[in-house]
Amino acid sequence: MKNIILVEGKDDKAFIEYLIQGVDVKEFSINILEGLSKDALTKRLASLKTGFLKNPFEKLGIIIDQDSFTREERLAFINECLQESFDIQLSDSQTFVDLTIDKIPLQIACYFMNIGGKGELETILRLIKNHSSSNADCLEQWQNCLSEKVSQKEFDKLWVHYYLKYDTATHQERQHAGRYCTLEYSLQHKTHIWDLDSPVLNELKVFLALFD
Amino acid sequence: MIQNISIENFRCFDKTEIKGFSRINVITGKNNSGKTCLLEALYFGLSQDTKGTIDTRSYEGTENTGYSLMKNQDIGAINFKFTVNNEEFGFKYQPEFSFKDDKTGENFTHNNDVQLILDKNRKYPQLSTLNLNEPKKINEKNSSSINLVQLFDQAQITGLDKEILDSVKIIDSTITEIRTFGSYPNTLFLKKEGTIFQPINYHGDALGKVILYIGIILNYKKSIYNYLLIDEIENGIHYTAQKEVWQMLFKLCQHHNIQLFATTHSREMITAFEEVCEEFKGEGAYFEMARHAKTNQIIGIKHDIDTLEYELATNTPIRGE
Repeated sequence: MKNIILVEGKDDKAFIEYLIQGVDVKEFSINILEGLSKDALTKRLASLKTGFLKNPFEKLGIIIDQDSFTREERLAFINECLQESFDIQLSDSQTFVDLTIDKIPLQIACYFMNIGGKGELETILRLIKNHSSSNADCLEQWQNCLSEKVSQKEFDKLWVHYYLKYDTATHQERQHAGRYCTLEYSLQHKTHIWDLDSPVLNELKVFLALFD
Repeated sequence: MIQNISIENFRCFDKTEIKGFSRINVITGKNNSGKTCLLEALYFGLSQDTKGTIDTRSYEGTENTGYSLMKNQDIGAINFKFTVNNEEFGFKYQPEFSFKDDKTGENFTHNNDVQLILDKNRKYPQLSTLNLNEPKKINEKNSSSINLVQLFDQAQITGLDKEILDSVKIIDSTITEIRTFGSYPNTLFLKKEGTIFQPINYHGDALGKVILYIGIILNYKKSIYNYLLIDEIENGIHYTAQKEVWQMLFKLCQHHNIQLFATTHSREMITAFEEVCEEFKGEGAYFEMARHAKTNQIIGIKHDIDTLEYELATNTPIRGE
């Protein structure tokens, strides 16, 4: 039986897909939520449970951004969705809970993308950049000009976008930015622009290794 | 109304239990997943029409005894359990003794009005339990299709023919009149705006199907639960009309106290069904036939309608994949 990892968006999928190559895990499938909300997560979990007896999986991992929430708040959010769908709760992140559905065992765990207890994928990406980021860094000055600052989450997303488009892409690649200036493309063809051995990623890699 | 069913040793079923039926039930799944078998099991269990059930799949040279209905003839019996209006009852079928009640051991008869409409590539069972005003005429027919003329005539006699015309207009809004002519006793005629009457077979399959469904519904007895079982309901119905066909079926089944079970392969038909379920809260249920990954038994997976909406929107596999 394969494992399933549930992520928020296509960048998360590309990132986890890359990292998981370096970890000895079973056959897995990464499902995208297309935007995180209680409704979307609960319905996706309910759908996975509905189809479980025909397409069972051994382990389910839910990876979401911690954002500006505390770990306890994030866990409470996940538990609310799990309670409605699988009728179980997790005791902590990065720890499996065991359950059985019609005699088929299943384990579920979650992980929150974070740096120092907050943030998201883009916060991690900023920290593991491995190339000059002179263009993206100018955004700090741009932000200072604004009468109303953008949120840290939006800023980090913008920073990664600029890094991929103006610091690490060729002129030709920029002409087709939708294809060549994406995280997915960089992880397939330009891995040198990221420090993928950074210790910042160790906790996430340990979590992914649980899907052995 | 049937809420749950348990089927043992019938056709492709070893032992299968399906729970949570509602008034309008859509059943989907891959080919040979047990969709049509489920309809046949419902028909057999509700009507105790052994010959009609055997006839749905028999052809020259095959065994046509009650044993042919069994998955494993060595077991020697087919077992059913139904939960109807919160009451559970069980009975078994043995070719030597026919139907016996599990508790009393007495002969089991249930007297339901039930009609099974199979895909046109299959045979139709006899209308042995269809309670029309003149049932003999229908029962004596041995054709491969139900007589639309008689269904329409019955509706006209009881003043319900306008409901048939209104339903037909869902498929083709230019049709203005339906009638029969004494000179052509076996043909139903339709008239479009600005044209003369033309036989129904000059028009598409969908019109005949809708008249068939509505005709049967309108001819059921009132005040008891009746059952309509339709195989591959989407055939011939264009996707733009599917939502209105469902709305019509929901309304009529509610009004005439009918429980409908319909199979489909069509994602468009399922989407239309889900949309109509929003209007008729609690009246629709969706089931996916598949195999249990561990036991390989046939299972009927009920999808919550809210979850189904999400699954359709996210292209999640919901048809047995």
